[in-house]
Amino acid sequence: MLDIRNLHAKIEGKEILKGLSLKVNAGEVHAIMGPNGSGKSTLSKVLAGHPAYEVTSGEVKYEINFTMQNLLEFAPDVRAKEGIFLAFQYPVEVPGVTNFSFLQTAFNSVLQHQGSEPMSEGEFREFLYQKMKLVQMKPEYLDRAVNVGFSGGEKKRNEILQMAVLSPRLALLDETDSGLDIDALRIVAEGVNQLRSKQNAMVLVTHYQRLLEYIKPDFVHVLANGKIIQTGDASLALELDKKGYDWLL
Amino acid sequence: MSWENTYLQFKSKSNLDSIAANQMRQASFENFLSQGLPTRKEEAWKYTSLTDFKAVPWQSALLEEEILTHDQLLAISKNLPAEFYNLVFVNGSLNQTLSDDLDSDITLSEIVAEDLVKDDKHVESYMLQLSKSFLSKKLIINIKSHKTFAKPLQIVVVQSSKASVYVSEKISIKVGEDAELTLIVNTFSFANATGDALNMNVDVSVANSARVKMIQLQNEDVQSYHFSQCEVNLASNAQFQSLAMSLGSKLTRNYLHVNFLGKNSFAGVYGLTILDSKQHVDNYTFIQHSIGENQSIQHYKSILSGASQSVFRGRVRIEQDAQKANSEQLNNNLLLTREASANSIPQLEIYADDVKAGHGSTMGQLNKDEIFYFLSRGINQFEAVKMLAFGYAKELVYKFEDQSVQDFLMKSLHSKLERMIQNV
Repeated sequence: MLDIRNLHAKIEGKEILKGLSLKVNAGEVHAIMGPNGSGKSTLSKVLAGHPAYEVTSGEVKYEINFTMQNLLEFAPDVRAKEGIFLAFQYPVEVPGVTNFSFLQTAFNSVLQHQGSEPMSEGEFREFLYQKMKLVQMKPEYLDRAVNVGFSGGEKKRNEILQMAVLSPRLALLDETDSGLDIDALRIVAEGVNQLRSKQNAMVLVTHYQRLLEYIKPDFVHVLANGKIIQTGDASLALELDKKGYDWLL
Repeated sequence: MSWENTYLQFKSKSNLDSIAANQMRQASFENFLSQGLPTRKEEAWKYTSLTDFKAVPWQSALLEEEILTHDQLLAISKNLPAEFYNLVFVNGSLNQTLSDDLDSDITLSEIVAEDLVKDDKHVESYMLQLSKSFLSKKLIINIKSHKTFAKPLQIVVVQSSKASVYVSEKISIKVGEDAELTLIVNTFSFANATGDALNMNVDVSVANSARVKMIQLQNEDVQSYHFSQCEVNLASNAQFQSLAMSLGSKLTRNYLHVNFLGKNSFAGVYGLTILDSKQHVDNYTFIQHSIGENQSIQHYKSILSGASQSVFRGRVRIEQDAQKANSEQLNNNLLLTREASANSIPQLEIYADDVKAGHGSTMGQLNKDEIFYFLSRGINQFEAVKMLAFGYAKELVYKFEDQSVQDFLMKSLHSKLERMIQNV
């Protein structure tokens, strides 16, 4: 469903991605690991359409309506409506907007894009309560401003809640494990695992092997200096954990 | 038409009986003529120009009720929720069809000489003298001690003319000991080529332990001019809360003076200015701690798009003997376009030594990361900006706990933001 070829991208004049290629099929989970500054976060932001990043060459094809289309032509909100979801490394705090209205507006935007009727407030609340159980979030979080005053773990759980609500086809999880203690990590990982299916794919960007003990990847890629330099199965992550990255560079 | 002609027109149309009042009115008018309208050379008018206002050939309002079209009636009645007690004035006259029956607490009476007593040194004397020159009636709201006015009281002031009409209005509010009133002054007008002008004069007297909430919802046509001078006097243990919500008009100048005359009183003075195109709103507040041991909080926010401008001048004066006064002031401006601008002028005059007084102001654009967060969840730019702007504004609406008041204000807020953000 995703085919990235020779992708180059820069931010503020600095080239970060230098010819990255990656193919992701439905049902697969890919982990992208790599040293600091290798371009891991840039990749997920470029795919989500962050305006600060400029693609200078290469292509990204993504399956929309059963045909592979040029993803880079779509505005960020359209990409999201077409099933791309980015779980932020640093979820943004939005004072003044409640979690509930944020989630409801997002959910109904996607429904509307698909040509369905928006869900009423009551129906949506019921739907939401089910999803919240997945990440063990209490209903009172719905009436609080988005991520404002949330702990690191609560913010990450909130990302997974948003993911559960929007049920994306392609989820990009950017360092979702960073800053989580072991209990929070387990909750987040369980939430993610329950959202895995044959129809959707996930790309986990992570620093450490730790997350991969909970979410088993089909492929592990090493990203260094803006390119994927090594690809393997889950065992590659264990090897990286033992030996570091130096032997590959 | 010169102001002299406008004045003659006013005199011939109004039944002005009291000789004493007529003399005072004449004196006010002569005062107004001799000092003219302010220019930007005056510090208090530095950021607000009356050049366009001066150029309009103002007419005096008709005494008889102007006939409203079906659409206009409909538009007005949409502003009259059943949860409110509504009084509707059209071009300065009470419209009995649209209004609820007059309560014994509310009377409409002729202007008397005392209402027009000269006040030469007043900082807002230009607009005050103009206002007094054209006053014929006043609305008196008198809430007796220990009484709570049953519903939020809404006074709707509608301007509806074919050509530029100037109207002065006066509302006098007295809230007795331990009494309670929520008042909404909702002003709006229907479009015409040159706009209308409204000059409102409001005085509020809040007795010991009384509680008053006052909202000035200004939603006039974008060709219109809106001026108001509001004087609030607080006795002891009084609670006063105000919101100047400015959405409409071409030019608005609100002057609000709150004076603490007792102890242990609180004034929460808020403002919400939401503008587009070339709209201009100038809020001039003057919080006077004449006596100590009182608390005032001011919070004014604006959301500006197009080439609109907002001015906030927050004057706080703590007199020498007003020890233990506590005063805070905050002005936040959210600029949605490059052409929009805001001026924030705090003016603290502190003569006592044992006081707390703070002020702050911010200017900013919408946060790009916040917008991207919305986009990444499938919410489009238009909706994202609207939700963020709404989130920014609603804090001040929530200062008013009454659900019907909140809903009413939210509706106005929504429709203004909806209209304006489509053009950003």
